[in-house]
Amino acid sequence: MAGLLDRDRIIAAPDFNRWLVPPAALAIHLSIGQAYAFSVFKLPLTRVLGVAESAPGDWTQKQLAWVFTLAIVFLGLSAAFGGRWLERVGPRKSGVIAACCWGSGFLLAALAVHVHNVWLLYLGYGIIGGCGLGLGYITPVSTLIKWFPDRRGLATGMAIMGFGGGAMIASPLSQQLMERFATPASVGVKETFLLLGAVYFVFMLGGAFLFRLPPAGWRPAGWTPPAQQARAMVTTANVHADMAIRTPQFYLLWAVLFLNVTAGIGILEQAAPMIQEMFPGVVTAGAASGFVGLLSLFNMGGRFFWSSLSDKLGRKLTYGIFFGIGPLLYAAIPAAGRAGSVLLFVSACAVILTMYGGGFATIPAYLADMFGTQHVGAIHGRLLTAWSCAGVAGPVLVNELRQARLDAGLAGADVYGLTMYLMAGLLVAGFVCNLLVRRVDERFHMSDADLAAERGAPSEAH
Amino acid sequence: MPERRGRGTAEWTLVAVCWAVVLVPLAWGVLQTVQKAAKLFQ
Repeated sequence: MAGLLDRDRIIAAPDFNRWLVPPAALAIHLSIGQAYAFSVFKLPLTRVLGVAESAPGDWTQKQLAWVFTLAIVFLGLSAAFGGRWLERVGPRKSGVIAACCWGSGFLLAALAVHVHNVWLLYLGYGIIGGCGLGLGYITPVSTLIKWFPDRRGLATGMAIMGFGGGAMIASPLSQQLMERFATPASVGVKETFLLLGAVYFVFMLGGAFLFRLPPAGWRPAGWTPPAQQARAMVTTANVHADMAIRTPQFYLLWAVLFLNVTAGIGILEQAAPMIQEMFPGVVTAGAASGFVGLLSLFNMGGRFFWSSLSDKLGRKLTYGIFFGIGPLLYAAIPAAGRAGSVLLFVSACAVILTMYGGGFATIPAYLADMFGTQHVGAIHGRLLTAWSCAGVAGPVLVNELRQARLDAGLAGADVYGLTMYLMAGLLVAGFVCNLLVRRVDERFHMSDADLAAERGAPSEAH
Repeated sequence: MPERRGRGTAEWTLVAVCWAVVLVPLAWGVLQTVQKAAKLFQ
């Protein structure tokens, strides 16, 4: 079994069709994208004992909020610490381990519901499942980048679009399964967790076994790397993951991702209450849930659109657009509220969400441009700690600000004005960070001998 | 040559099947979300 998972076993034959890799990547990202739909379980999980309504001893919303937070924190940690291991053992073994973690995380969560132990839920879905999220996120991205040196943005966009799409599948599916399994004595969460865990395990395992790695020195037919002088930001060299974290470029890109995600969370976290409070009597609760659905569509679409477009525009210009237009859109949101224009409000939020998703999908290609493809999985993994930090800091920031404004007696657009201007300020800071990104100095590049030693091939492989 | 062409065809069939396996559930999820989003305009 161990041999079956080895990196050496998955070096592709010369006639391997690289278009088999994106569906393998999507299978994994569609599965782990379920994490963004965890909120559909929150209410049923508060009624595990009482079933019809919460009973004494049932879990609280506050206790359950920690499950998602832990999952996102362990996503970042496992991606950061598992990235180098992934590059060493290859994507099949890493993908199988991710499948085991994600699947067993659900099984443990089901057991936690059965014995009603919240710590087991934290361990299962939050910690073990979170590790599956991290490994499952970076494994397909690292593999795709190696197969699509000519269209890195398109490749990473396809996979990371799946992460957004996974929530769209999981949310209605989980609701339908819970309705199907619900009885007078059960809310149906346990059975839903068991079934989802099994399905995701099989789906991810299928994806992991489809993965192949290109042989050393492989290039797409008819493609030659662009000349170094022509696109100075894009390197044909490679930077070791341990060396990459010593470069200013790594920290600038960390800040770019952190700021873009934090600003996006400012919209995502408050979407439903914000649209209702800004347009009281105009937007109903049902319409507000429709607004949330619309945002998730734009979030997913933006992942593919912006990432693919970055192949033409270049990564720096693409982020320049996010950070250049973004502040204007954030500033337009309170103005739309004051003017009573739902259309302007929805349009601004929708475009912002495309850029939020686009930021996630474009960053691996940006990293591959700056640091090469040899260690891109490990470097991407370490950069994803920015997501974890934003995932914790962002909601705290926006919720505290909203509450402070409500406590001050403000209403409508005035509640959200300060938050939106703050988010615009974060994007301006992101604009500066992106502007400061320069080509990585050659002293950080791996030598041909180091590269050949890692690849176990003659030095012409580069 | 015919053998070569035959293998290539089989390979593209496998690619199509793999894409279908992931795109069908994705399309279902997108459709569900579009229906939900439509409430905003009702």
